[in-house]
Amino acid sequence: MTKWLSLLRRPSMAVAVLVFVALGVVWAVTAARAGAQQTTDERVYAIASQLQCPVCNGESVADAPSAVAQEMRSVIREKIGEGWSDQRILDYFHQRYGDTILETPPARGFTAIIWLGPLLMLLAGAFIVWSAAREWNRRATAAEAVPARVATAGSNGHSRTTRAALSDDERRRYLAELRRELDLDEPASATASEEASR
Amino acid sequence: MHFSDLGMIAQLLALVFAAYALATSVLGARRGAAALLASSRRAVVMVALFCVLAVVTLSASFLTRDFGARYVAEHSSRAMPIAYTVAAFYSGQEGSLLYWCTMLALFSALAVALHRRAPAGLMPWVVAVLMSVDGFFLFVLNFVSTPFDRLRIAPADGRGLNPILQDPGMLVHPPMLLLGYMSWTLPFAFAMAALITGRLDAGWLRAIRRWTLAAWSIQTTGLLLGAWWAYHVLGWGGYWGWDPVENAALLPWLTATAFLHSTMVQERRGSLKVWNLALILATFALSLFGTFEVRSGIITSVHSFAYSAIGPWFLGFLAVVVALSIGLFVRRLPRLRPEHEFDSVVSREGSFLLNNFLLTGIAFATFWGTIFPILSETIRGQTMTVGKAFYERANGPLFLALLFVMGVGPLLAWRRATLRSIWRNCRWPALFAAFCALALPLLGVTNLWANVGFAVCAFAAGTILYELWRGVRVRHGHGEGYLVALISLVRRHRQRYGGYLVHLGLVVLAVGVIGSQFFQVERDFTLQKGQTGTVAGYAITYQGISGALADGGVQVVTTRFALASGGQSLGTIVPGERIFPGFEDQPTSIVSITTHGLNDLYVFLSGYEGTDSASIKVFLNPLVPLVWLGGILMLLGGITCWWPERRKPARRVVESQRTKKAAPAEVVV
Repeated sequence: MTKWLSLLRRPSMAVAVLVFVALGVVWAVTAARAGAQQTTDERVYAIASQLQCPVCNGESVADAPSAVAQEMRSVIREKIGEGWSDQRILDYFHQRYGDTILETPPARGFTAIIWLGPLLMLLAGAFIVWSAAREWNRRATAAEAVPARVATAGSNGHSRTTRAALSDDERRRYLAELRRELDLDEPASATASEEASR
Repeated sequence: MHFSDLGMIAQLLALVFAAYALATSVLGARRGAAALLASSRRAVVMVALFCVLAVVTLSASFLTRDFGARYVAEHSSRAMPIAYTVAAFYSGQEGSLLYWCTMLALFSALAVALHRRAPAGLMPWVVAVLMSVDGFFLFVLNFVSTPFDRLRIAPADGRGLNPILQDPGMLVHPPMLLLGYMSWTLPFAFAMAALITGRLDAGWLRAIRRWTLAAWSIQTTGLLLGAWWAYHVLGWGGYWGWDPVENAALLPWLTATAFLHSTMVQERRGSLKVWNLALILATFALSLFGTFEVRSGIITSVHSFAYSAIGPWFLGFLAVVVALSIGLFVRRLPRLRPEHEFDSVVSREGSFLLNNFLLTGIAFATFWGTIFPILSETIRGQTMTVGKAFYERANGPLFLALLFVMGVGPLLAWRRATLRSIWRNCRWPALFAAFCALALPLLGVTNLWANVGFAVCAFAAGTILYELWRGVRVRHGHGEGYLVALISLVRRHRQRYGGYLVHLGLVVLAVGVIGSQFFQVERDFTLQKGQTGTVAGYAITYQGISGALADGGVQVVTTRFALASGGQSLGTIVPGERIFPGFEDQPTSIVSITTHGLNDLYVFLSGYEGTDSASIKVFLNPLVPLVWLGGILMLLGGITCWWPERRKPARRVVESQRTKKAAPAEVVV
C-alpha cells in the first residue's frame, strides 16, 4: 500500500490518477442523470421503437409511416401524459397484440431462451478460456520448478529449456534462433529490436 | 438452336469434368500416379471454361431478349437498360448459383495454377474438395433449378426486374457478397486436405494465408456495399438493420476474422490447431448457410425476392459438409497436439484468445437471434421477429470489449507481458482517451454509453497511432524523413501495418456507428407549399412537385425542397419516387442524402397530395460519413496485408528445409 502511495509522489503519476478519478466521476454523473432529461418526444420515440408495426414488413412503430403506426404513436403520447411508466405502456400493447408486437422478445416464458442462449454460451466460453489459462499457468510454474528440464518441442525442431539451465553457449544459440524466428515470421518485430538496440 | 440450349450443354459438360477431376485427383493421390493428377488439373481448367461458357450464353440470352428462356422472361423486360439487363443475371436464384459456381471454378483453376509446386501432398485433395463443392452446385444447376429451361410459348415481353433491385448498388453488391461467400471454399478445401492427409503443421495455413486475406477483403466489401445500398435505397435512415440476411453475411465474416487472428498464434507458436480448423470449417458452413438463406425464403427479410425448391438440397449438402468435417476432425484430434504451451494469459496469444472469444460470442448471439424465429415456429408454432434491440443489447457490450482488446492486444509481447510494460505502452493513449471522455460532455455527449464508446474508440485509435509514431520515430532517428519513414515502414512490414490500418478503419467505423446510433434525430413533416420544417437547425422549405417520364417507361416523381441552415442557403434537395412499369404498386424511393460536415441529412418522401402538400421523413444522421470512411480504410488495410510481398531469399531457404522435414504424404480414407 505504501509502495503504491509513494508512486503518487511522482507528479506524472499523480496527474494520471487525477484524470482517471475525474473520468469516473463524470461517468457516474452521466449515468445518474440518464433518463431524467428525456423529453416526451424522446420517450415516445424510445417506446415506439420497441414495438413492431403490425402491418408493415419489419419496421418499428417509430419508423413506419403507416396510419396504424401513427395511431399507436399518439396512444403512447397519451399514456405518457397520463403518467404511465414505459414498461406499463409496453405491457399494454403486448396484451393487445401478443408476442409479435414486441421488437425484442421479453425475457420471460418461452422467449427467455433467446436471452439465455448467448448468455450460457458466453459463460461456457469464459469457463473454457479460464480453465485453459489455469492449466497453462500450472504447467508454466511446474516447468520453472524443475530446473534443467529440457523439453523438446515440436516439428520446428528447436528445443526449449528453462531459463535457469541456460549455459552461455545455449543462450547464444537460443538468441540466434530467436533472431532468426523474429526475422522470419514477423518482419515487423524488427522495429521492436531496432528500438531496443537504440 | 438457342443460346440457352448451348448453356445447358455447357453446364452439363462442366459437371462431367468436375466429376472426372474429382475421381482422378482422389485416385491419383492414393496411387501416387502423377499422370492422373496432371489430368485432373487439366479437367479443373475445363470446368472453369465450360462454366464461363454457360455464363456467356446466359448473358447472351438476356442481351438478345430471348424471352423464350424462362429465366430471362422472369427477370428482364425490353424496356430495361443494358446495365440492369446484365445485372438481372444474378437477380434470381438460378443465376446467382451459376455465378457462384463459375467463380468457384475460376478460383479453383487459379489455385491449381498457383500452387502447382507448393505443398505438393495437399493439392490433389484440395482439388477433390473444390470439385465436390463445385460439383454439388453444378448438379443443382443441371437437375434441380436450371437457368436454361425454355417456355413452351415465348411471351412478347418479359416480366421485368424487381424495382428495388434497379439501383446502381445492385450492380455491385450481390456479386461481391456471393463472391465473398464463395471464396471461403478455398481455405476450407485446404483445411479438409490437411485433415485428410494428416499434414496438420502450419503448412496449410501458410498456403491459404493470402486466400483468406483476399476472401476477407471481398466479404468486407460485400458487407459495406450492402450497407450502402440499404442506406440509399430502403429509406429507413439506417445502414444496418440486423436483418436475417445481413446477419447471415456477417456470420462468416466474424468467424473468419477470428480465424485470421488465431492463425497467427498457430504460425508463431504452434498452438490452437484444433481451434483454427474448427473456425475455418465453421466459416465455410456459415457461408453455405448464407448463400442458401438468401434464396430459400425460410426467414422473412428485405431480401426475400425469390423462393424456391432448392432448400432441402442445400440443407442436405450443409449437413453432409458438417458431418464430414466433424468426422475427420474427431479422427485427427490426437494429431492436433500443440507444439508449444501457452506461457501466460497476459500475452499476445492471450489477447488473440480474448479476441476469438468475443468474436465467436458475437457470432453466436447473431446466429441465435437469426434462427430463433425458426425455433419458435417449430416448437410452439408461433412466428415472431427478433428486432434490432436484441442484437444491440447482446452484441453492443461485446463489440465494445472487442474494440478495447484491439487497442491493448497489439502492444502485448508474445509469450508473456509484464504489467509494467503494458502500462508503459498504454499510458499515453489511456490518458488521451480519458481526456476525450472528460471533454465530450461539454460537447453535448451526455449519454453514458456513447461516452464510454467514444472513449474506448479514442483509446484504440490512440494505441495504434502511438505505435505507428514510435515506429516512424525509430526510422527517423536513422536519418529518414517522417513521411519516407512511414511509407517504408508500411512497405517493409505490410501485414503488420495493414492490420493496424484495418484496426484504425474499424475504430473510425465504430465512431460513426456510435454517433448515428445514439444521436440520430428523426422528424416527420407534412408541409404545404412555402411552409418550412426545422430539424436540428436545418430548415427545409417545400417548393413544389414535378413528374417526368424517364427511359424505359419509368415514372419519376420529384419534390423540391430548399435547404437552409442559420439563414444560409444550402441549395435544393429533390427526394422523390420511381414507379416502374409492371410494378405500379411498388414504388421505390429516391432518398435525398446530403452531407454537411460530419452530418448526413437524410430526406425521404413518404407521401404527397396533389401539388400542394408533401409528407417527408427527415433524419439527421450524425457521423455516418465516418462509417464509409472507416469501411474504406479497413478495405485498404486488407489489401495492404494481401498485397504480395517480395520474398526474401533467406525465407525461401528455410521454407525448403521445412518441406524436407515434413512427413511423407500419408493418406487415409
